[in-house]
Order: sequence, then C-alpha cells, then structure tokens
Amino acid sequence: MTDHVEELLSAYIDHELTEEEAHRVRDHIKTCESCRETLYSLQHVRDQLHDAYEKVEVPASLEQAVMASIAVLERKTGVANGFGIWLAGVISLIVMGATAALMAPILIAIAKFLYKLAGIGIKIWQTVPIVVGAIPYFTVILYGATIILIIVSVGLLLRLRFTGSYDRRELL
Amino acid sequence: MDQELNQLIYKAKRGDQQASAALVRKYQGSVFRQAYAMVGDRMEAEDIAQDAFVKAFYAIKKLDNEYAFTSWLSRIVSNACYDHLKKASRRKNVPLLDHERKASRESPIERSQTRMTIRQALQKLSPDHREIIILRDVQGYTYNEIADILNIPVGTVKSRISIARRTLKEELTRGEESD
Repeated sequence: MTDHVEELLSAYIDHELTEEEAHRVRDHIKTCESCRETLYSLQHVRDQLHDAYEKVEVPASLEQAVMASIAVLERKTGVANGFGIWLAGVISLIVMGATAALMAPILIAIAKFLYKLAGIGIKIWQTVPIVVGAIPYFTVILYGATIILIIVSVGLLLRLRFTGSYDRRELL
Repeated sequence: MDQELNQLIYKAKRGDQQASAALVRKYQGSVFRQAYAMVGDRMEAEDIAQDAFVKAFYAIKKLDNEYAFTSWLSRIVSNACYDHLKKASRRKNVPLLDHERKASRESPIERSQTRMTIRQALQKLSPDHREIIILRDVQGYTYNEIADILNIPVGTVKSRISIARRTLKEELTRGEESD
C-alpha cells in the first residue's frame, strides 16, 4: 500500500473534502491499517480538544467588567467631543480675529475711497442747479420739450392700437 | 441568525447599553473560550475577552453586515490574542508556558489530567496553528468561515489544520510515552 491519504484525513473528519476525495479516503482506509489508525487518533485529538474547552467556566465578573469599561470609554469619548466643540469655537474666534486684523488696512482704504466717492457725488448734485440756472430760457425749453414728448407719445400709442386691431382681423 | 439576535446587534450599533449587555451575556462564553485556549491562562484570557468586547462595541457602528457579527467578533478576539502574545514575547523574562501557574488558576472541575495534557499540547503549537485549530475544534467554524475570519485561502486553512492536528497528536503521544 503506497498511495496513503494522510494529508486528507484531517479534512475528512471535518467533512471538508470533495465527494471524490472522501470516496478515495473511504476506499483507502478499508484496507490500510496505518491510515485507519491515524484517522482514529486524529478524531480522538479533535474530540479531546473540543471537550477540554466546551465546559470552561466563564469568569462571573466578565460581563460587569466589560460594561464598566464601555461606560468609561463612552464618558471619555463624550468629554473629548465636548472639549472638541469648545476648542473648535475658540479656534474659529481666533481665526476670525486674525483675519480681521490682517484685513484692517485694506478695509480702511476701501472705506476712505467710498467716502471720497460720496463727496464727489454730493458736489456734482450741488452743481446741477447752478448749471441749469445759467442756461437762458431753460424753463421755456423744458416746457416745450415736455409738450413735444407728450404729443409724440400719444401719437405712437394711437398707432399701436390701430396696428393691433389690424393684426387681430387678419388672424380671424 | 435569529431575528432577536439581529435586533440586539442593530440596537447595540445605535448605542443601546442593554442590547450591548445582552450581547456580552450571549457571547462571553465563546469569546472567553477562544482567548483561554489561545493563551492558556484564565486571568489573561479574561483581560483579552474584556479588551475584545470593548473594541467590538467601539467599532460596531462600522459593522456593515449584522449577519457577520459572530465571525467579526472572533476576528477581533483573534487579533487581541495576537497583540497579547506579542506583548508577552517582548517580556522575555516571563515564560509563556508556566503550567504550574496556569494550573493554580484553573477551577477544580477543569483540573483533570487528560484535559491538562491536551491543553499543554495545544500551547506547544505555533500561534498560527493554535489559532486555527481553536477556531475549528473549539469554536466549530467551517473551513470557509475560518478563511474569512483570518483572511487566508481555504487551502491554507486545510493544510494548517492538518499540521496542527498531527502536531497535537505527536505531542500527546510524546506525553504518554514520557509518563
């Protein structure tokens, strides 16, 4: 008997062989005493190991100890989170302050520019009546222009109304 | 997986303390057994089990599939055992296999000669072989489940289990011969 199956015996007792391999082992151990004995001793080892730990007593304090450790961990995590939020707030304030300090010269320059721009606008506004007053017959020209504008507007409106009626008829 | 267990895991993921406690009660035997078989010392196994549960509940929100909880927990225990063994190997002055010390910490029921022998033999395996034979023979996982837990091919699982069993058999035979 040369074709021993020792390397398959362990998987055989665990029912982890293919059907073909298991068949080969079954056939072999019928006639090979050496492999059959190895098979029995491996089964014995497996059973002994299983029995040795099957009824191991679990320490009574384990559950309590685990839950206490989890509680401590959660407290630490909670404290860490609270501290994190507080720290983030402080950092944000510092960043905002630093940004404002760095931006101050630019902001002041922009404010000064806007102030000057407003001054120019006011001066222009104050100049308008003087310029208008200096134009001769300004009031007469203004009234005339207004009347012409009204006449032109009325004419355009009438024309628009007439064109609209024509279009509707065409559509009908 | 039954609906009740699925519900417990779902609640524990949302920070429900009672659900977490119920899961500890349900799995403490399995977790402690795995750790005890791996390190061979009750007090150390208790520390590992506690550490593994804390790690598990800290990371449970990241668990995508509730159905994979059992194997996920076994993976955490396995990693915790390895961490412990690494630390122990750094402390070279403390021998890992102090059987007298271990025997004194075992309960009277567990102190039978046969069981001591298989436990001693188990501690003589390499950590990789010990871990895999524990997952198979103590925890009862299939080869595919073990491959998933340890993230190794099924072929490797098969060969490691085979080597581990044969080494255990040799150690036990040697023990009998020396008696």
